[in-house]
Amino acid sequence: METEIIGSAAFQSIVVKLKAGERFISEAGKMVRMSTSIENEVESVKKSGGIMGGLKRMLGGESFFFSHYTALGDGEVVLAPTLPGNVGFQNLDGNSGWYCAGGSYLGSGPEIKTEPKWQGMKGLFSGESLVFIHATGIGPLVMDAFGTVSEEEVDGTFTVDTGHLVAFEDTLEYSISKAGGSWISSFLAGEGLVIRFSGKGKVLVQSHNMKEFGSLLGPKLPPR
Amino acid sequence: MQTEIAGNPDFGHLKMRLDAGDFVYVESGAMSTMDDDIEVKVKMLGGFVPALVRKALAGESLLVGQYSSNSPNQRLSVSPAIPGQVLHKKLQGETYLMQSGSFMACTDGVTLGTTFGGLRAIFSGEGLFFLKISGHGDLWYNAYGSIVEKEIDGEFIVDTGHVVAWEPSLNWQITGMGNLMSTFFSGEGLVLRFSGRGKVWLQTRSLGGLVNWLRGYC
Amino acid sequence: MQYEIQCEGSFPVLEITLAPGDQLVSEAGAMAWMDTAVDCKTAARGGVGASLKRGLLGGESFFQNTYTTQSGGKVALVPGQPGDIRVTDMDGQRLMLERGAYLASGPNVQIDSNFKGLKGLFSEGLFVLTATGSGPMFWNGYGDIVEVQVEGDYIVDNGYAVAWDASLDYKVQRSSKKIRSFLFGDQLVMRFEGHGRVWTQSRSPRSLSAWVYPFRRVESKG
Repeated sequence: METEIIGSAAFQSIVVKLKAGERFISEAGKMVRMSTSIENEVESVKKSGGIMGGLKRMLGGESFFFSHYTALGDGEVVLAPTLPGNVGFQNLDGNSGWYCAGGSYLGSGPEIKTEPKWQGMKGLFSGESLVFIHATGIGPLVMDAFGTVSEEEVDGTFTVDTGHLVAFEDTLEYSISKAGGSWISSFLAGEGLVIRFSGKGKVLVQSHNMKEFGSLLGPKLPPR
Repeated sequence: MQTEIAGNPDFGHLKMRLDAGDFVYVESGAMSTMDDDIEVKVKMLGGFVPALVRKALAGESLLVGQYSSNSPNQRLSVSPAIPGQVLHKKLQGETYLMQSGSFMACTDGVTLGTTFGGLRAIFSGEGLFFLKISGHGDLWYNAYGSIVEKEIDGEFIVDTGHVVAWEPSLNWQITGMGNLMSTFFSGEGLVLRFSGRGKVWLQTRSLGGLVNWLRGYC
Repeated sequence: MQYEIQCEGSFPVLEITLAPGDQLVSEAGAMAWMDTAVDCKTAARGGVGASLKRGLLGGESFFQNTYTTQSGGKVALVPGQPGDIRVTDMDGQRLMLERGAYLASGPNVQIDSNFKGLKGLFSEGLFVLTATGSGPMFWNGYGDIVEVQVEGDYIVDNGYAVAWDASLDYKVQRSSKKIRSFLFGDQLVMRFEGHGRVWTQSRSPRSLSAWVYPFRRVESKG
């Protein structure tokens, strides 16, 4: 299996080249184009971890289902995120796992296990969806980002607005709170929730905030 | 205070390092990452404007975050809501007129006022007001897409969704494209008709254009 | 008529320099800025009936702008979406376009819309424009446009195919053969067959529409 990120910075996609017999998994609905030798099966509810698993993922911004690609012969499948931006990529070596936040999980190799992790009630009050997808195992992990992705090496503390968080290593401790000193102050300043990391590990940050963009664009479209 | 614009031309964003005593004013919702000793307070931009009128302001909330630091070298990153270029101007007493959605951040010494766009401005989707920016200090502003600068000497027409800023030396007027039917159906909405001499800054995409395109898939 | 695609990055602008006698047609709403020396007339191209049909089914607006000039001038055109702008010098061939892809063209290019319904599958159909004629035709995509040479067969999700040679055959089908995944999260794909080129875009308007759905206002009933 080989992967290659293609495209201009604003519109990256990933080409996954598979040899006969190899497999890959992605969020359902992310396929752009593929060779006819690749079979794409959207898994049933049962396989997705049951209704709870599916629901958890849906609240996390992920689609309800996964697409399973199996190469019947050599071929390629191209996957793309929904919004303009980079594709995030990490090669998991089994030593640490990664949490994908805010719907950023795009795809992974067959040896990677993905599990939704609920962040508790704090998320609900601000309208944020705080379900993280915990990816563990060995192999490639592919993520969506809105904007450019930068990798922060945390050794101490680091604070990110949750709308800008793509993913982070599970070696980090984290807490979720409001941005400013007081709730009212933060709310009025328009800031959402922030996540504060401590310890040692990597964090992937995206330059732009999906929620801000959606809130700007959504109300201008016809009502649903 | 150190500042750096990263991510241009498609995903411009602003990275700053604040020392104790530095203040920067940023549009609401723009903060992406910050160090622990950065403080945020709410301030009202541009002085007092009646609540009813504020509501009509389409592109920008009048509330901004005032960011300051309690210790040296504290990092703060801010991003606009929309992808595109971010630019910087060092103001030395001159004035600019700016579409309210394009304002991103500024330092103390920059004054932000509003100027009435005329009733027709409501229909342009840009709200009733344009910002009038002057003073001494740093100004950061953003575009949807890339920014194109044009030197006008005569007359020029710009779709209102594509204007970012212009020099007040220019005469400007919001008009329809021709007759009423033409305006209504041409999809241009309204345009800004500039005349005289001065610079305009234009953006290569508009929120209205994005909405019109996406509407067909909703 | 001269043209230039300007601005590095993902938000290019098409600047056309018109000379007296030139004529340019564009989607209504595509004009970003222009010299006052350019005249812009809005009309329903080809008569109201034809335009309405195109508008309702093709996803393009009802009206189109025609630009001319007495003394010469420039007009800048942009699509609504971010992404590449391309030019094809039409010379009698037929090019198929996704409905949001058309930007502008010279007076001797014809654009027609076809609705390719899907019998017995989903009510969602495929809106396709056919470009014929001669002269410049300007089109755009959502994201990067990549040309794929099809020799045999190839699958493209139908949100991502932006243009293709009319010489290619294609079938619209479900991406998965298993019955149990019929209704959930499945995709309609286009299976191209034959020899020809397909141009794909790297983002899908349909996916964006699904993503922005929760941000839209809820229509109050009654």
